Amino acid sequence: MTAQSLEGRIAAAVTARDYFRRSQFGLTGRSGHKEWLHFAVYADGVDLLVNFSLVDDIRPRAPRGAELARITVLVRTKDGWDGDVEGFPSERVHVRGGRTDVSFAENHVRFLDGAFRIRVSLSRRPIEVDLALVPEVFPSEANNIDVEDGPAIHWMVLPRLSARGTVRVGARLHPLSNAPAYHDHNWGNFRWGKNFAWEWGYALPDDRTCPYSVVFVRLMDRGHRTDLMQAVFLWDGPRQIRVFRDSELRVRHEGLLAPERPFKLPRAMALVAPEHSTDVPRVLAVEAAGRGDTLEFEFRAEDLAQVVIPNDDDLGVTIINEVSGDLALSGEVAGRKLSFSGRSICEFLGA
Amino acid sequence: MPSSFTAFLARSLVLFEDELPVVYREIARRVGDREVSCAVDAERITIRSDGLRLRLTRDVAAPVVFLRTSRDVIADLLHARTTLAEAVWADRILLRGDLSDLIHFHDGLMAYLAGAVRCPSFPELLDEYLDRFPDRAADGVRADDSIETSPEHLRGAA
Repeated sequence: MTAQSLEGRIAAAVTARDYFRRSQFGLTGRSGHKEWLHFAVYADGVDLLVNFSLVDDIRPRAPRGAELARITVLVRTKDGWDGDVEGFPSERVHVRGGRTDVSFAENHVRFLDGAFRIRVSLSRRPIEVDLALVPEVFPSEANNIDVEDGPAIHWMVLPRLSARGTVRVGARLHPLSNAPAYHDHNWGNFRWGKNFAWEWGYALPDDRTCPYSVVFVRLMDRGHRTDLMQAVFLWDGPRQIRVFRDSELRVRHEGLLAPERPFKLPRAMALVAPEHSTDVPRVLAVEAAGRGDTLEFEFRAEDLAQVVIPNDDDLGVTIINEVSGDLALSGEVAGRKLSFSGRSICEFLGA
Repeated sequence: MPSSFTAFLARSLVLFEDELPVVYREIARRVGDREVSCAVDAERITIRSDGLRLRLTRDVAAPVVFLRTSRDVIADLLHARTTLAEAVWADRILLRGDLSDLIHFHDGLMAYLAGAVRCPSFPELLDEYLDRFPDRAADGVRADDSIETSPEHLRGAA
């Protein structure tokens, strides 16, 4: 790989954008910073989500600058969902502002030689992840996304990577080779439980030779009554070629997904959020049109797991529904017809 | 069996009072002026609330809510192997009291759980109770303690 090769230019773009912004809490006293690296991988026999997060410790007696480090791992196999959320003491956390690399004890994400190296071994569940994810597209950055009653959220998205390595769940080892993967990086000073919610998803073609990648995001008020922003991002090969925004989009929900007993993480959160019902649509349909381009897709939800997060300013919770399903897309952009189908993960933030 | 549940409960309340005072006050406010008798396995402890503070004691004065369960059930709940409702329906948690008192206790329990999931020190405390406690004595709190066991008392022992 050279700096001038496509892989080299993509790696340089990742290095330039995908770095830890870090909290100002210790320096300025401004608390509430949240930041995480999020990875999702779809492979034969296993779906995987890994999230390294670092948030300010906002408890009243926490020392200024204190942070909470956690790794969330969700896996879905033919045996169902598994995973855990693990916390790490500050002395076992190594992260530097301006760098991508992060280590929580023996677990780490490193960006090395144009690939994310992810190694996670959960201490309480028999799950081990040892993967290299090679970005295949240039990242896109969306800064200063306003929410109604708080500071802006920032987002960097890298929707298409190729994953290789292994995922072990229990006694079963899942080898991965050229498996489709997704990555994003979020940061900001927002507080869980405030007046915002999001719908977000990505889709990669089952046919790995198909060049298109799609990301959808919609930010709303917590009651899902007002859209704050919405967009569909389309990549053709390594480059983003079109963004449909706001009034160019029509979003429709059909039905409700009704899992018999949603898997919840951390498991103990089922005590404070025991509900089995969800507000996740069975079908999410999006139509986008503008400047002569059109795009429409339909995401059909199959199954979900919930990551349940305590609100920052009240005793309620925010539920992040991680929903797996199939997506079919078609359209015409810049005079070229496109269509593909693939598996997808969408995320629906609920109260 | 050592009084592990008592130590666990008392230390958790100390944690809340120290780290999450708003949650601590909310638990007391929701339970109100009531006394709750808890039996976990062979262990008995009374939670006394005046609406502002919570105290643990071995004395039983006038409990209005009686709860009986086991450490196994607590472990099953925390690992999501069962739900509160299922455990009650299966008589793995026995509750007795007037409806109004039970509702206040339930609301207080929910506030306690809300604190538990917000308190970074709580998982370690829980591990000690569920996993490691049978192999060692409870620090500073034993089954045959006859003195009042309040968070203030435990603060010195913890």
